[in-house]
Amino acid sequence: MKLARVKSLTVASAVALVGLAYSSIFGPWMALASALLIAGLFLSSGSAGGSVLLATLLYTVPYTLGTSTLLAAAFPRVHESLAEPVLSSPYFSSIIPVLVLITLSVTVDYVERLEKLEGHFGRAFSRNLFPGLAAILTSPIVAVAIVFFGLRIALPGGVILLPIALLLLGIVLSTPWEWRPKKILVAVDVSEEGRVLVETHNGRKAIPVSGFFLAEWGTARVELELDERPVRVIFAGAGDEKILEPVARGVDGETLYLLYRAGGRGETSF
Amino acid sequence: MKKRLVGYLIWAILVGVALLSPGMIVLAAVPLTILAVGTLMDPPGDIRVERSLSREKVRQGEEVEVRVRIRAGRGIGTLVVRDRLPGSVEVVEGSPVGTFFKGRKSLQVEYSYRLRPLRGGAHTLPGSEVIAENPLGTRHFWGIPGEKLRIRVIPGERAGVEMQRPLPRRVLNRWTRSMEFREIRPYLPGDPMKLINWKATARLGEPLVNELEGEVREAVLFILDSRTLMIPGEGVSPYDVGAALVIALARYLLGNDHHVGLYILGAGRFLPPATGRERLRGIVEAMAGAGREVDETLPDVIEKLRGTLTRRTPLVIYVSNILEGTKVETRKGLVTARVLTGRRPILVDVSPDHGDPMIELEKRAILGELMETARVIRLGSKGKEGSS
Repeated sequence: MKLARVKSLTVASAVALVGLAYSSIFGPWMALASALLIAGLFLSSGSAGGSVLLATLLYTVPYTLGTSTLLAAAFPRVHESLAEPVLSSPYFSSIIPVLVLITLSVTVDYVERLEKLEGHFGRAFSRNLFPGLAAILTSPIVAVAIVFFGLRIALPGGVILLPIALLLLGIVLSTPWEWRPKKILVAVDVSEEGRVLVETHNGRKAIPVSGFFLAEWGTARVELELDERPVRVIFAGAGDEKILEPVARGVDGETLYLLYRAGGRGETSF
Repeated sequence: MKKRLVGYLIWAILVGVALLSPGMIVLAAVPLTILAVGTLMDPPGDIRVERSLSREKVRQGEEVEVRVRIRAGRGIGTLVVRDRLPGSVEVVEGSPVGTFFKGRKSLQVEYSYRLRPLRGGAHTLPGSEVIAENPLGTRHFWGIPGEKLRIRVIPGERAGVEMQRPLPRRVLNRWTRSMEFREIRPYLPGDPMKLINWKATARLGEPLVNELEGEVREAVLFILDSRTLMIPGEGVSPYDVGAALVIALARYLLGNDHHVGLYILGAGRFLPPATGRERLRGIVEAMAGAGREVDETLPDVIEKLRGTLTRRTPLVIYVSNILEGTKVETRKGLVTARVLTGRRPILVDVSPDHGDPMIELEKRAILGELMETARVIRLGSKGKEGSS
């Protein structure tokens, strides 16, 4: 299935869901207006992710108003007239529709990333779609489980504390605390003439990048293998020096890869 | 995705707190949990990329198959493997980019593509670049595992340079310095006719020939520019035409007992002047193995060769594609070479067929200026001599 079709289908699902939800509390005209707003954003900007985000925000507005204790205390009569249809609507009585919208958002984000990769590398990524979606769907399932479990346990704020604990666990597990790389490979993408200066505790290495090198590669890549992390990576171009920050990094086995970029966007998009 | 999920989270918490809506606080758990799951989900890792070439040494115009084997041991998500290729090779079949999805099982895949080097010399393919991310886009991996590959291309086969008479005879004769006459001896079968001493033969009535000490042929040093200006846009590259010219001239000169040397500018390769068949083989091998590895100019090279130039005073033949950007360095290098050797160097300009009259005019003006310091010979990239 083409990625563009999946994107349209996802936005259409979000439009339908918000339209139905609004129709159940405000009537068909409001539903039509919300649907037009989301579809208009999608058609004008082409951003499916932005459209689903708008749909989710629109969806949460009546829900927030309906469940707001502040509004209930400040404007009891208005709140009562608003909260009653909202909370009695099947679309606002559980978190499932919001969960569906956030899942759609995650899905459309994945599709857009695949589309971006397709454009960048000129290769079809549509075969990655379904296996990726299968993996993506595990996260809302876990979210539902956590919310229900959090609501059931007696611990106050358990519904928020559990995902925070899970997030901390993820951060702890994905951080190589005691890991010291044996090899560090520094790559610097350069798109203009100059010198790449890599500073370590043992000194400074300078690698010139000439126009000839650039003409052969378009964006030249300077690679340097080190046995310690660089203290600073600098690009000295025409008249000025610029300290570079890594745009990508990777840890694999005993090697740490660091990618820097000087001048222009470079070839690898992140 | 991370930004969007954080956006949902902040929105839910802010609105929930501002309007005292416990429902919204509960909703914040959804993006938070998805973020947490995303943090726990490793992108594809433990990646090994092994590449092999169908042949490491090819002739100009031949294709090479690059076979790529990928293994990913852990993680889940999209995996992109890409070979960054220099402008000096073209992909003729397949793609240097491989895209895969790594599921729960370990991934072992293989693909191949074919490429054709566009010019002679060495072509280095850097290690494959690997980009991986988990499906939620919250964790990435970037790396360049694997080794570099090197393809050596023997130049000169397709450049179309015919060198029956590479340079005018008067030029070549000038490079030959005869030694002294030693004695007259009887003619032996195989002696060249030009050595017969006709006066002595007539006087004594038997064929006599002049015996010479032997001839010392002078040294010739080629400096072949392999930098990017010699790389093609389309068609045969100026480098290949230059390489073919050097091979043809070297064959001719070595056949006439000259000492021939070669320096490949941009590759830092130097073969000092020597004679014999082995030297020709050495020149071809050096060209096939020359990559674009050294950032140097003609004056740098002349300085590097100062010892050889002053000791052996070779005739310097510089083969390049001269443009405005290299005019100054060329003039400086040629002037120094002339001072060091005491002889006027030869500049062979190899131009690609651009067909642009403005570039042509510029070219003529540049070469006109350089004629003061060197003998200038122009060669088009089809191998035809233009003007001199």
